Amino acid sequence: MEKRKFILSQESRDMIIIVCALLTYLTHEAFLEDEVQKMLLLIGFSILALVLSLLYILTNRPLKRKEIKTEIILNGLILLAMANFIYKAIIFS
Amino acid sequence: MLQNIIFATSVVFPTFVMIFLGYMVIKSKILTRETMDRIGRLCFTYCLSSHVFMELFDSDASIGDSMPLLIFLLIATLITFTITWIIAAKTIKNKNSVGTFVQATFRSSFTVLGLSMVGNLAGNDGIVYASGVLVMTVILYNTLAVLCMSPYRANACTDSAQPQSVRLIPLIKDIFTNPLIVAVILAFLVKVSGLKLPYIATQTVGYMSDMAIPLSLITIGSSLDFGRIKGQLGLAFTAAFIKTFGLAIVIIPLAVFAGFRDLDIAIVAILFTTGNPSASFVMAKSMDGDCDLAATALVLSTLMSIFALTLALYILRSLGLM
Repeated sequence: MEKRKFILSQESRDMIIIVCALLTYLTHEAFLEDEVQKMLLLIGFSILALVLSLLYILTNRPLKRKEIKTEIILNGLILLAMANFIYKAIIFS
Repeated sequence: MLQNIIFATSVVFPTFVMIFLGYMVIKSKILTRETMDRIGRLCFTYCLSSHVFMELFDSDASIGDSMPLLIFLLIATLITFTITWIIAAKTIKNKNSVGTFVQATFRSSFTVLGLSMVGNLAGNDGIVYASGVLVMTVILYNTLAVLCMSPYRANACTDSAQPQSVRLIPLIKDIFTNPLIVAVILAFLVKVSGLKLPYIATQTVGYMSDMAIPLSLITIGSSLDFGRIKGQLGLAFTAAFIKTFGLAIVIIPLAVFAGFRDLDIAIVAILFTTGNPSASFVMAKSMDGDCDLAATALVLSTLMSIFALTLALYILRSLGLM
């Protein structure tokens, strides 16, 4: 039997991101009080976004030029936000 | 006494004047219903989401404080939903109407009517406080509506040539990509990442935000079609009465006993006295439910909510609970 190739579609990635962002929002706002824990949660969410982006790039090769640009900008923003969260986590701890 | 009447009226009256204005726009043929439907879509997708985004982005308040209220509302909605469904399934002869009836008894127009009332009552901080309720109602109402309407599907839509079938995955996608939920998530992410939005962006989004509530109230008014009142009028009246008065009579005293006061009790009153959203008709149509019943209940519950909400706010104010 032929092995099916796994492809992460743009739609699936967006849905996972939205649901996880919603869960992160609710956890951050409603359940966590410690600032370090809040930052760790946000770092975790950023890592998830980066991993999903990497998975999308790898399973949808070759990407178009425009898509590559979008991914670079998106991941750049996520990395900047992540650096901000790590910096804050260090300060709070 | 007079002061309490003035208070209750000042919260409810401006909202319903705007709805009446929307109704008059159609009645006097200034705009057609199709145009207003499109404006409604524009308002829901861009203006209301901008409004939610701006309120959350500007405020330092957190939904963590409203957790007990969220849990109470979740439990109250689930219990009343189950009881209504059991009674409706046993008493309503036309099985196709059961799901639509149940939906009409629990679904509130919190995103538009509710937010407008909360804004009138407590300003921007009130809207931020209610954002948790907003997220909960969007997810919960859609899920429960699908749950109660799925077992009773039939081709009952009289004004739709081809009733559309509903698939679960696109429906889940619709719930989570609802513009209001996306706005909440975006506001949260922008806020926590420490980004400062440029003046041009805040000003533009601010313009859209400012017109959200008035425009959405006008579109509610324009969607009130008294010509749609037909079919099982008694059943629609019962559903609208349960939605605006019945549940409020039971749940508001329970909320008072549970210790909710001020804005909390006002949100409970608003949620359980406001009428059905137009989404309930759209859902009934797409789930092959009883469209006439949904449309009639929508009109009746919107009208009844004027009296129910004024009365609820007046009583709560008179008792010193808010």
